[in-house]
Amino acid sequence: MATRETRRLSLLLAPMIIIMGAVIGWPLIQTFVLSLTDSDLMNLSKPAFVGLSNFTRAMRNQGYLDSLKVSALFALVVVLSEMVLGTSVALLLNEPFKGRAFVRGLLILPWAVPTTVNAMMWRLIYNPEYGALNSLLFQLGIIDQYVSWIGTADKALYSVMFADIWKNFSLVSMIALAALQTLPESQIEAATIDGANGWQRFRFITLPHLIPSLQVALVLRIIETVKVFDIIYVMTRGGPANKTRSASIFVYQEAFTNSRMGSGAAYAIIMVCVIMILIAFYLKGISKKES
Amino acid sequence: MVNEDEEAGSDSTHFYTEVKMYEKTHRAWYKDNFNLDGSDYTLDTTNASTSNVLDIPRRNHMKKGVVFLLCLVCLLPLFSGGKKEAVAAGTVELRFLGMAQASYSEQNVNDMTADFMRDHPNITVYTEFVPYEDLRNKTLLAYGSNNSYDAVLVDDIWYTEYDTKGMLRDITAEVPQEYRDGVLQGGWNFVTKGGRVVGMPWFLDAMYLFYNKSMLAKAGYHAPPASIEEMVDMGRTLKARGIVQYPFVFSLAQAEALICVYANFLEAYGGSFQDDAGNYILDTSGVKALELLVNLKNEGLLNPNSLEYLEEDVRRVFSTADAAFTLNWAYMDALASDPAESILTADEVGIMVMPGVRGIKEHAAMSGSMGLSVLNKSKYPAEALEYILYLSSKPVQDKHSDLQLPVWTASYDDPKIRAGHEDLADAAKLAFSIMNVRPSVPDYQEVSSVFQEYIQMALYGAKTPQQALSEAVQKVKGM
Amino acid sequence: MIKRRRYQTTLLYIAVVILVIYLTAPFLWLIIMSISPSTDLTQKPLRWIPSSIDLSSYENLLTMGINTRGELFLHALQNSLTTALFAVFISLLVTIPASWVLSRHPGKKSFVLSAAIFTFMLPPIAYALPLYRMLSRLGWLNNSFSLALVYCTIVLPFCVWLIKENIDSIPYDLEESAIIDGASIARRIINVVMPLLLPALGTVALLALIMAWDEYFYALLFTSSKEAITLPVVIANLASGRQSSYNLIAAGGVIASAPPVIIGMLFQRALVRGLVQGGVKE
Repeated sequence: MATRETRRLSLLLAPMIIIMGAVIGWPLIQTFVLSLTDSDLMNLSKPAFVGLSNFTRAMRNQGYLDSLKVSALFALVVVLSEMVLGTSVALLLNEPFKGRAFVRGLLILPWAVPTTVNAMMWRLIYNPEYGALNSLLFQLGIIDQYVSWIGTADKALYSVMFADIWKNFSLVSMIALAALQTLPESQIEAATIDGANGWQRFRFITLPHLIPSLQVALVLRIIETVKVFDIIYVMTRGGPANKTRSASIFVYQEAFTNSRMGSGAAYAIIMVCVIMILIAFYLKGISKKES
Repeated sequence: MVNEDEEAGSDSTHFYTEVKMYEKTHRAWYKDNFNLDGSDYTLDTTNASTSNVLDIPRRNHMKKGVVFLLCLVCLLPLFSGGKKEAVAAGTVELRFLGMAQASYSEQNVNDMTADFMRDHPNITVYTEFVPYEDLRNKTLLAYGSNNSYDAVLVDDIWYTEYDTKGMLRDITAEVPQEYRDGVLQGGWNFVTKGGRVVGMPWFLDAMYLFYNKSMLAKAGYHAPPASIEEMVDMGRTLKARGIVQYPFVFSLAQAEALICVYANFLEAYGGSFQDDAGNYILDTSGVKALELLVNLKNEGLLNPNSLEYLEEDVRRVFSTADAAFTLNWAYMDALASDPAESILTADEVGIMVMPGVRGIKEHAAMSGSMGLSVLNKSKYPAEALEYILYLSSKPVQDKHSDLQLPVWTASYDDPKIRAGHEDLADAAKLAFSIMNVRPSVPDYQEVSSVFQEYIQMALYGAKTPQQALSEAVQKVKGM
Repeated sequence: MIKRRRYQTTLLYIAVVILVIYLTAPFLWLIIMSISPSTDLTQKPLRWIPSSIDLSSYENLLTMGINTRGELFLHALQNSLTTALFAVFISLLVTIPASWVLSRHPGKKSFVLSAAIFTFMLPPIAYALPLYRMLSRLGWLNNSFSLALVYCTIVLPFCVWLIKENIDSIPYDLEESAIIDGASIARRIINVVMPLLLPALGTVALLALIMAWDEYFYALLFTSSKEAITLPVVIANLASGRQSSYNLIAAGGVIASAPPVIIGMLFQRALVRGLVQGGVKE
């Protein structure tokens, strides 16, 4: 009886496990195998087993370490800005004012714009000759010369970040706003009567109420930004002088452009390990919350 | 809004909470979707009775949900059917991978292909186009898979790599004599590897120097520059007189285009990428060329945005009269004076082979040609060859000569072809006779990306030209 | 209600105006670009208001003809729809039984759930290459349906999580009465759980649709021609720096954004609730 029940349950889970296993599980195992060989993209020569040499070389490759730094910096700046901006906007939209419903409706717009369209749109806006941003800042007298936003070594990464923040802060903001609306106003009123000022009300009532939702948004966004590929690939392809080359783009170039699948796989696995550490923290956090 | 959920939930039974949560979701969903007043997100659940679980309104939105899902299902076949056109029995299907560019444009190639298929009703050619940056990756990826293309467009710098990997079909014995005699020798040079012909030259190209004649005239110059030094002097004068803010604009984004521009200057200084033994020697022979570019930038003569520009960007800058000199491929000649694309008239646009450095060279040119090849994995090599021979045949090339010059020697003296672009035809003739090629090595792409990175560093001022090139050569050696 | 002083009200409205500009200006500019004549867009300083309304770029993209740009674009539009809808459809089919098991028998199968979360966090680059070879060996490259299957892996972890949360909130009592009537697991799911789940399924479907519509990396690797290429790839190719007419690029972007933006505006609150529920357990 018990085994029949188990078999039935497994049957219900089977389609999901098959799809996930075929598309992710099996290829992932193959990636591990590949990382120990000198396999090339086109499978021309018989791959030879090279042990861990791909990994030792990876850890010494300055280009790769730089790309990890780019990914980390991207994740850090983007996620922090989105958290701050998203929460502030949610607080603003929680205040009563005329036309609030309309503005709230607009909030979803940036998030709904597809990533590649967002990248392309900002590429047009940043254009150094005919871009809207240059023209606007120039006409306002903020800059006296057109700026090459995504073509200058020290500005490119931040310009890409700005584009990504525009799209994704709205997600954080929507999540925060939804949470704010479950905050009973009576609590705020009580605190006011007790003489709490605006900052104290935020610090001791609103923020603790928001934190669970913000944590979710935080984790979602960290995962997405650490893997960042598409927005950078469309906007700069890692240029100028590799200043915007993220780890995902580095692995893509190593495996596809340089045709070295073996070492590309090793780079990918190191990336996976880094992300695994993040997951470990996340799961630990969840279990703590549940207990 | 009344909001007593929080407290209520905490002191009720587990079951009660669950039902309430469930109900909350449903009511809210209902409200959201059919009550689009946008007022707020608040979950309005003042009624906490469990009997509501099965009441009427829920049935309503349940119905809506069913309708929505049904719609999804119904839409599916709509978008899945009628994908592949029916193919008659006995026909041959070919897949061709080309490049999305200005010329030959996708449209041009598709027109040629349509004509080809009309002449060969048994052959269907599916064309695919990707940007230059993805062309090599796509070719390699597909070749490594079981889904290879039959014919592909190949940049001259990739021929060695493809050939080393055994991807290209040897067509030495199959090229008709008419092609052998009629097509420019420069074309055969880059598609011949170890004595075997592995491709058909499709277009010969080089980066030409485009200059704005009316700007030069305003500054008192009535002849184009005869040397690099003179060109730079002209630029200084133009800037000093306020005729144009940045006289020069080049495609120096981190891409192959940067190497092409740099290679032209390298050529002008008589330098080269490698010595005869194949060692990279840019750290000695290439420094002056890079110094020149860096100085142009530091002097404010080079448009600083050059570092994010590709060929199309520099074309646009030149076409809006925001630069006096630029380097670009032949396709720009027609577009630079096309009223739909440019504010310049044909009289204002000059094209020439870039001059060399005084005392070293008169002219410098670097090849940027491309060929068509049949891949070894093609199931229909004969038909694929027929297709690429058709694309590079004289009548087809002559017909589309307004954007891209033919590879046929005879076409250059044909007044009909020359009409309207005599300057280009003359420049091309000279360029083809002197042009050099970028290193022809199996790992070219990787070498190139290292040089791209370091040359950009020098242009940013993060490293001196000498430093940058020394480090780049060091890195290439270590690969 | 806390009373606001006058200067606070003024500040509030200033902040709101800035916010509205920030939210809408980039996209509005994209729309303006798409209807401007191309010469307007290469002027310096820029022309903010188009000299005339020029819809030729839309016409260009949306006119079907043999070997035209419109052909590729319309195919891409259709492929994007097929792929996204098919991915959502399969995902929901697979999700419902799986989430039911995970919800009703949590102890046993929590491993599966962690695995689902784990896969959501994996960078696709880590398994894309062997996957490419696999698809190619099967002859499944450049095919909307195999692409949809791949997309399922992006969408599934999310769907399973959300639907499980929703099944959790359906009282088990309802199923128990069905068990007494002798209903099988399938009957219980179809007759009892499904009807109560429909609204949540709607939300999840919309979210999944937007996610699948947005995907770029797999489409870049696995598709190449009009048979299966999706809009994000076409858009990225347009933006690659080798396309000179800005208004055309902009028009492509506007069209590609239209479906998710419209869905987003119409179903905003349902979507937000889905997103919030996905992670926060109250």
